[in-house]
Amino acid sequence: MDEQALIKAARQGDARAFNQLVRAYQGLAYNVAYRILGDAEAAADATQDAFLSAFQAIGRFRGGSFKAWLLRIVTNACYDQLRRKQRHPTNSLEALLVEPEASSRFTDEGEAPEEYALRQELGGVIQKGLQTLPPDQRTTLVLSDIQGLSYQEIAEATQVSLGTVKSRLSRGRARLRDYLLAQEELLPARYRLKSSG
Amino acid sequence: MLGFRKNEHQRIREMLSAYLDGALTPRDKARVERHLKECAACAEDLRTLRWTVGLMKEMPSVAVPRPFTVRAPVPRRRAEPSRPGWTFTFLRGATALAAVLLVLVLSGDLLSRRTLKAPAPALAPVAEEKAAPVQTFEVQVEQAEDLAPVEVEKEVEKALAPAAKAFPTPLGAGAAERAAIPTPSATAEQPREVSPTPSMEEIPPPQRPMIELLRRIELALLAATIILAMTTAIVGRRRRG
Repeated sequence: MDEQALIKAARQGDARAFNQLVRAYQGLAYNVAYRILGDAEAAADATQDAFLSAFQAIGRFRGGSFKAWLLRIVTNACYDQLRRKQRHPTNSLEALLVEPEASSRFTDEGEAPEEYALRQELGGVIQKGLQTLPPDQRTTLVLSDIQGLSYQEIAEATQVSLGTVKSRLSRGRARLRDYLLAQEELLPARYRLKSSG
Repeated sequence: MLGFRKNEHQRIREMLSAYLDGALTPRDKARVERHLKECAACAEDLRTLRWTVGLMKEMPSVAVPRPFTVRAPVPRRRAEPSRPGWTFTFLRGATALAAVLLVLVLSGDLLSRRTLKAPAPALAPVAEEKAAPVQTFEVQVEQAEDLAPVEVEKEVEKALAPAAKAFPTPLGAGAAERAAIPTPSATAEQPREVSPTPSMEEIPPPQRPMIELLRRIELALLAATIILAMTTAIVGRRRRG
């Protein structure tokens, strides 16, 4: 079944059809949540909440990009998790103390172990940089530069105008750049600016 | 760099992100490119920005820790409480019905006994009644034996045989009485001797087996009510838990 047929079946309450959509999108949803939240457990909770909400709300899905619609629910679930963290600041402190990359498995395990280790190291540094951004900029960066969504899709997913997407992206990238420049020595040598420039 | 106002650097820097994405209008794109040729600082800005975006694209993706499929909550939620709910309702109804029947039968029984036993003393009617059938039966048999040994015995035996098979005591005894007393042949063959016996005439013959039957029904209804009430309580507790 193609996506449209699955969506149609899911709208009529077909959980099997919806679960096919879950399998197709759970990698994307979890990765978005993981990069926004920087915490594996919170990301899993947000992803699960998002899919449950999506299943309940799919009757209200009125066409357009399913991916953008789903990611809107995922980002909202992430903001709920962030608010929960704010209410329990000890948790967020613990999350910062735990090296987030070390606790997670990565999908690109087919690559050479050395390559894999370097990318993991890079991921750890960038993730910390992302955590320094305001959530709206962080979300926009994750959707654009990590997940490769178009401006239009990001606008739909975050419910803002294209202009807002552009400005959030511009500010977020500049801010992350400043962080990475300041932390450059933490990056593996091959990813440093001098060798790349 | 000297030829540009501060504002212009700021505007160009704000456009660099979109420039990287190829998202500028041709006019803005030309403007940015013109500026970059002459402004090293903004060109460096573009270089570091491109580096940052390139690094984010290098980030490894994370494997999902578990499947996030949903269990169909809609039909399950409907099915789960409905099953014990139906059973519970049924059991509760059955208990109430059994209890009502028990009360009806008991009250009917008591009322009918009172009317039947009108001349008897009002106190301790149950004990009296329980004892009554046995006594009268003994009396009957003794009298029958005394008065017409052969025929009556035969009649009683005839009547007892099928009844005893069908109902072992005490119903058998009741059935024997019923058969023995009104049999026309027995009364015909011993016309004078049998008829004067007063005890036989006084007790209405069909009442005693009826009382036994009633007692059985009452006991059965009581047992049914207790069992049903207990089952209902168990099902209700399980449903709540």
